[in-house]
Amino acid sequence: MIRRIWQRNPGITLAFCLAVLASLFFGWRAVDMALILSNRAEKPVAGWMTPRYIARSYGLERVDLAATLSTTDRDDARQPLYSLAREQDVPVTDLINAVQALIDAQDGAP
Amino acid sequence: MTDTLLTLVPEWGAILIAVMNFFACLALPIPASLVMLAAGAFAVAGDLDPLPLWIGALVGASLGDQAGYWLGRAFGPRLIDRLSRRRRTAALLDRAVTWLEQRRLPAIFLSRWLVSALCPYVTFAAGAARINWAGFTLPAIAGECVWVSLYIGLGYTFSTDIEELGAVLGNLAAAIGAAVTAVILGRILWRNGQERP
Repeated sequence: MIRRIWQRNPGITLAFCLAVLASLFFGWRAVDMALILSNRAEKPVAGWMTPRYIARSYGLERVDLAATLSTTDRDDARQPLYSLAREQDVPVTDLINAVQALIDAQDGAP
Repeated sequence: MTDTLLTLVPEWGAILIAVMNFFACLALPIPASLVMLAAGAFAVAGDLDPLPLWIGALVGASLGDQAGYWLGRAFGPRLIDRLSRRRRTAALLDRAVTWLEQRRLPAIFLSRWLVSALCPYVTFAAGAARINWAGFTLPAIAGECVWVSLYIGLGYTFSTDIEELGAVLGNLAAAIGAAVTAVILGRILWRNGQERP
């Protein structure tokens, strides 16, 4: 039966095998990533995050965050750290490290 | 690339999502799902307004569907003619067109969100098979509503984990798409195997 199917439709049989392999591969990757997601510790701060997103995700006070990012004198809405760093002419890693230090200080606080 | 895209989301909002969804619906390899998750996350943080996001995402996806459908109508028949020159391919193609016409509603609706990896191909095939415009557009818009609401809603709910969630959902969508393709091809092979030579 299998030989007859292969002889009649080699192209479709090959496509079928590839589709089965692809579904197993991507299914396994989805499960693997879901397990990583459920087991991992808190994720690090990234340049695409906005101050509001950081404040919400890490439970920081927006006033403290604004002081760390030197944005107390204006509305910091919708500006990611990359864009704030460019505006202040500092490397984005400086801002990320400063925010991370604020999070670590908060987490370490009694 | 992911970081750059995520950086653009709070600054460009609904326009970016509309453009992303438009091209994603035309089979371009664009992480539109991740962008919608991010939009939901920025909305819950207060950076973006959710309603314009939802409208932008739906308009972009629906226009992408329309573009794919009309491309299918324009270039599909020529492709079908070329493929129909071989007897066996013609029979398969005939069966595929009949299958699509018989299951038009679930095929178009479910391929927008549950089997989203196959969406652009079902769209092109619907145009090529000359499925009538309203018969394509209504289930397509209904399906896009589900897709857009689902991803923006998930971003809204799981805002702190969008990158990881995007990776899980992206792989899951690819796995479902491949599994459905395997089932369809398996059925064709099974039927061909049953037929006498």
